Amino acid sequence: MIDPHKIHLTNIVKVTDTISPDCQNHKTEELGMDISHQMMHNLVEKKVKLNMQIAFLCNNQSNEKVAVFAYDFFYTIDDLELHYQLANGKPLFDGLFVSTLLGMTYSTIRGVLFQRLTEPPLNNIILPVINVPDLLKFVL
Amino acid sequence: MNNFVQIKRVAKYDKVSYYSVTINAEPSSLFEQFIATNTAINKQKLYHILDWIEVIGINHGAKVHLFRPESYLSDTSALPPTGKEREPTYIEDGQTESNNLRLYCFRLNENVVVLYNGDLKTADKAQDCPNVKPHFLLANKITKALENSIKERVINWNEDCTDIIFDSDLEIAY
Amino acid sequence: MENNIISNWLKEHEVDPSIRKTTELNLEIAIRINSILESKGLKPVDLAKKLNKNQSEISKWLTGTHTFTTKTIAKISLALEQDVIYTEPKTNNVYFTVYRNENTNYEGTEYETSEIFAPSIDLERNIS
Repeated sequence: MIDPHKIHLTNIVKVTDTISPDCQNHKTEELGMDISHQMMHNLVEKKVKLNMQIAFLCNNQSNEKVAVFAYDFFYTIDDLELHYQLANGKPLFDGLFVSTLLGMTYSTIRGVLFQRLTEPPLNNIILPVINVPDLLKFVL
Repeated sequence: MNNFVQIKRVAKYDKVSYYSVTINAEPSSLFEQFIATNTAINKQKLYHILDWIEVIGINHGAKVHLFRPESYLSDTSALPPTGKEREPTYIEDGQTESNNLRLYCFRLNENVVVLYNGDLKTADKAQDCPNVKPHFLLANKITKALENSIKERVINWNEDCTDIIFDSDLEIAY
Repeated sequence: MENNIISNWLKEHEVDPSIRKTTELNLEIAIRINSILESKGLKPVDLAKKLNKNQSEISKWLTGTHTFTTKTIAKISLALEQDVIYTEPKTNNVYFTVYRNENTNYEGTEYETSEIFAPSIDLERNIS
């Protein structure tokens, strides 16, 4: 069971905020979107760092990146130990738990970008509602 | 020989102006007589009634459901009810059906009430009670006369119908 | 308040301030009951039927000259399917901690890359 009261979002840090000079030459319909993420942890301090990157690509040009935004989300989880199992001394985190954090992170980035993106072709973009567990399907 | 009444204001509050009537130029209005009589013998019940009258005047206005109509169905000797005439209503205090102190009145609207006289009801039904019945009959007559006066515009309403306007020496026959 | 016979008399003869308070309560309750009846499109006679009482008793209640017992108020509330008197609503306080985006919260912490156990089926919760 995931207890929201035990999850604390303490920091949001901008890591990447790049819009290529070529971006304005593209039309919105030509663009695709990429979501990637990486999770890191500190078990002793019960902290998790979730990095999420949203990249806008040009579909026509072999996925050239037109704009990239990445943020680090810092979480402190009071009951972190409930959400992983140790295998060979390393924690294996529960997918449902990570999905919860990913969902919060993604939704927050939606808000950040909504405010941030004011110039065409990226202006007023609302990130789509996704099936968050899908983000875990392609973990390497 | 006709009798006549004059209208006298006895109290004014935010929500209600209370009036009474003096008969044939007597010094004391019916309501003042009611107070005088019952201060001596039914003070507790009188207190409750006056208290209620004041709270209505200050807080609530004379809403319809706060006043009880005399029930014509039980009072076969009274005037027959007609659609256009409003029967007098009463205010009452007491624990049982007999032994209540009853005060007759005429509710013109939510903001204007005329207070008459009344007495201790000693029987279950008003028409069986020698104390109360004469007050009820008198209240009936005067109410009818006041109603006519309003129709004939001898008594008028102010602009927003929150009070009545009449000549200070107006005499109404009943 | 000149020429206010009623107020003057009451001032002169007041013995017990609880009488006024009782009158105020009786009237508030009467008005409240009447208001509930109106809002539900009911008449006093309907309430009388529900409670198996004479209509004249209900009429008396509505004049505000009747001192109610809490038992009667309970019965009226049930018959009308609405509280005549509200008792204190239950409030449940929930406390949150709000964080400011300050460096001290996360500086100095070393992180390791995480591995996630995620079977590709059965993750029903979509939180976005």
